[in-house]
Amino acid sequence: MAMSCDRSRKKWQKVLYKDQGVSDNYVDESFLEEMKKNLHIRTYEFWAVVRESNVVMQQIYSVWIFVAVYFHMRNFVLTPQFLFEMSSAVTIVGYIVNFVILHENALTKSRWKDGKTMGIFLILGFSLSPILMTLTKTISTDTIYAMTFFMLLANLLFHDYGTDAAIVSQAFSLNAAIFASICLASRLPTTWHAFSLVTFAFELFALWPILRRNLKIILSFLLGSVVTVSVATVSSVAVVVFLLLHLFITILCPAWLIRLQPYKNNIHGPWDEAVIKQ
Amino acid sequence: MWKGPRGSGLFRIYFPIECLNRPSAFTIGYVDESNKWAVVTGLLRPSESSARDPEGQDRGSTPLSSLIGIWINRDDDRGGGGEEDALHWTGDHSLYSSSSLSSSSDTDLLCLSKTGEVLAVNGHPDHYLCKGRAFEFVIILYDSALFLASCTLMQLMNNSDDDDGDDAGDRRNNRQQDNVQIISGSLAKHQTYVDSCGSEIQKRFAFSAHRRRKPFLLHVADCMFAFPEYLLMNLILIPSSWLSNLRFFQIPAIKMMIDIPSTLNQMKIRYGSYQTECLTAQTGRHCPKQPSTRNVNVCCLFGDVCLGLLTLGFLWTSGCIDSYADRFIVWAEAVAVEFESLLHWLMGVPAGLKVNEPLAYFLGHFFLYHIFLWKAYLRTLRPFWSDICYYSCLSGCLGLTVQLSLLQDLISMMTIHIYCFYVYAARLYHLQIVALSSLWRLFCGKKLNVLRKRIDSASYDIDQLFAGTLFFTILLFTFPTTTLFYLVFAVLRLLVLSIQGMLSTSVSFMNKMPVYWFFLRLVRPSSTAGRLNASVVQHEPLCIYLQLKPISFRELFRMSTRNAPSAEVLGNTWTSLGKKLILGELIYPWIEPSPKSHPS
Repeated sequence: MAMSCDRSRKKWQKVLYKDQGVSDNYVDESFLEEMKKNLHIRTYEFWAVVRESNVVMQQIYSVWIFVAVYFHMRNFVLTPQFLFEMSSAVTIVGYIVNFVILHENALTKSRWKDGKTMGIFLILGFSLSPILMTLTKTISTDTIYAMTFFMLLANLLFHDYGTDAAIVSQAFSLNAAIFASICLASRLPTTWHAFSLVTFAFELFALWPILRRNLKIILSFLLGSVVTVSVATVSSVAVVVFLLLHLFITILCPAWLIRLQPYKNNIHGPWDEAVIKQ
Repeated sequence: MWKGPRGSGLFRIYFPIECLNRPSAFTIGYVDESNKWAVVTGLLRPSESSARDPEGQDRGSTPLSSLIGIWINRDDDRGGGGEEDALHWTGDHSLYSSSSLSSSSDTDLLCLSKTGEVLAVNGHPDHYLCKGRAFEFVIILYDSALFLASCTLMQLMNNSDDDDGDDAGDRRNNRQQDNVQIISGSLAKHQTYVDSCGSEIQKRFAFSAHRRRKPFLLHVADCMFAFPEYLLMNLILIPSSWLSNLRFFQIPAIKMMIDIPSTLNQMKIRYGSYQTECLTAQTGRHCPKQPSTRNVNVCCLFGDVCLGLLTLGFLWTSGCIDSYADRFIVWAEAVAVEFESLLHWLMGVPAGLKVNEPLAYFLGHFFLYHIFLWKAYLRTLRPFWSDICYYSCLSGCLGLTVQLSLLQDLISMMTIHIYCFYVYAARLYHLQIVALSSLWRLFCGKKLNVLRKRIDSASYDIDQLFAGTLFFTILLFTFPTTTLFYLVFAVLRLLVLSIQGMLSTSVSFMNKMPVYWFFLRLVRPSSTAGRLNASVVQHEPLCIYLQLKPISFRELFRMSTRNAPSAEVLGNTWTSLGKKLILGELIYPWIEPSPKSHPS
């Protein structure tokens, strides 16, 4: 007994190759000394988070605008010519703005490439529109709407919002959006309708995010009001849902996030995987 | 005095059962130490001078190179002197071993003896010393006469068993074939040895497993078949095999043209390769007096031709050709009309399924035009059809198999439009599946890495993505339509193929049926041996009697189906069929691959 007292006065070491005179399941007071909690915590400020949640909202705006445009075309409020002209004009303006912002040096090369892209896209779209129009004639409208819903949801989920997550797949989100637009376009009466809707969708989902990333100006209020107005003219229920969604994502979610911060309990310790720092 | 571990090998000593009652004599035969067997094929009485001057035999005209030992029959009535001689011989062991009379210079001599009902070797009941090593032995008694008479079929079975057979049966068969090969090989060597011996030695044979005369039946068969064989060979077969060896027929295009219609293929199998079979039959025959393969083939052909002529006679005299031909044409035209209505049904709302209208419309009209062409073809064929049928029965002269394969060809010609439709629909379906799978990968932002055979992520341009998605959507929505057309035509094609398959199976069955052996088995069962029966005669030392039993009819029947390459080899199992159906790859008819060409 005296001998074990002597030994325990010596500091217990966390090694197994020495016989330290204690039983196998001995727990020392220095247990979990090296554990560190919540090392890399970030403090969030409410309005900063609200501003950042804007990115998600912008994409949601795109989706809602697109659906609203579809419904307007279906109700013959919007003519395809008008849509085509408007979207082309906005695209050209946006292209010039993008061009100015980026100060690209390789002028001619990029212009030629972009021109080629546009050419291919227009030709393809125009020649395939008759096929697209009759593609889903025999499928019921409900199925089409369900497919569109899921495809647009996929677009929102997989979109690149600027984070580094594994789920992000830019190609998949774009493809899903185009698929959804083709589904909806096949419901429209004439070829022109289909073509203009597909063009609009392409410009909205493929080209607009590029400009958005380079702009770094928050156009949310302008865009938000456009969306509200357009949706309101389609159906009032939709507006209410949209506004609620807006509130939820912009106000509630940040608040929730900040409220949950105190419950964070990350533990770090010598058991973590080694990270090689260059 | 054991020089090695017990059971270092089982030494097999084969002894003819006819020799059990012969007086004592020298044993002639062959020994193989490495494979541990010894076969006794004859008994040689010693010459008068040998008892006094053993070495005198050395200076005889023929060296007795196959002397392997002595046989002592203590029961022999004439035995007194023989036993003395035997004892005298065993006393002079060393002389024989040193004078290299046995097949190998330092083998101990084999000394078999019979006392009462008990056989023994070298006086030791348990073991036999060979080259100083001790072996357990087993005495195997065999019927040399039967073996000589019926080595034919065993050879045939050996050759056919080499190709296939499952593992357990194979091992058993291998052991059986081993015994048979050893015995028949030794017997064959014995024949040549006896033929080369001088007459004075031949007179001394107390027993020799040596057949002097061919059995009468085979003689009769030879005579019977000689004249027709002469006719066939010189008039038909040799010219036709000369034709088939012409350079003209080696051109791949021509070869393909001949392989495809099964009539020509059948004729090629029957008549074209006859010469090479003839040549190969000359070499590698163990038993010199077996019935030649030519007889076998001629008999097969004959049966075929007889049946064909019978059918021909029946069809011509009963006059049902005309009515059948007429009915056939009417039926073919009715089928065309049914086809049209089927296509109209597909273009509408088939089975409540929703097909893509423009595509279904386009495909339907495309196929309808083909039906229109087909009906025109039938109309032009109608006046000549019954004549064609009547004169094509003439092919019965060449055999029933040729008639059946002609029928198969006629069926395939009559259903050529089904084949065309199937090919179109299958190609379209396959194309669509391949495109869909590739575009789906583009949809997910991935790409197939052909080098590493895996899926990698890829960065595409926006216009590539757009075009890809567009085409993907179009192909996806038109997929059910294409599938429907493909399924309908595939089912029809499979129906036709099953009918053709039945015909070709019966043709190949008739090709392979061993008619000659069948008749031989009926008439003279002892000539056709198919099974070995082993029964234990005595236990100590182990002595087994190996009996040859005639082949059973079921075995003969199985021989005709045995040589067909198995389904796995051809790649035509049910799973592969299902896979081909799903993927839209073309299903070709069941063509048996000849050794030269690969299966299409």
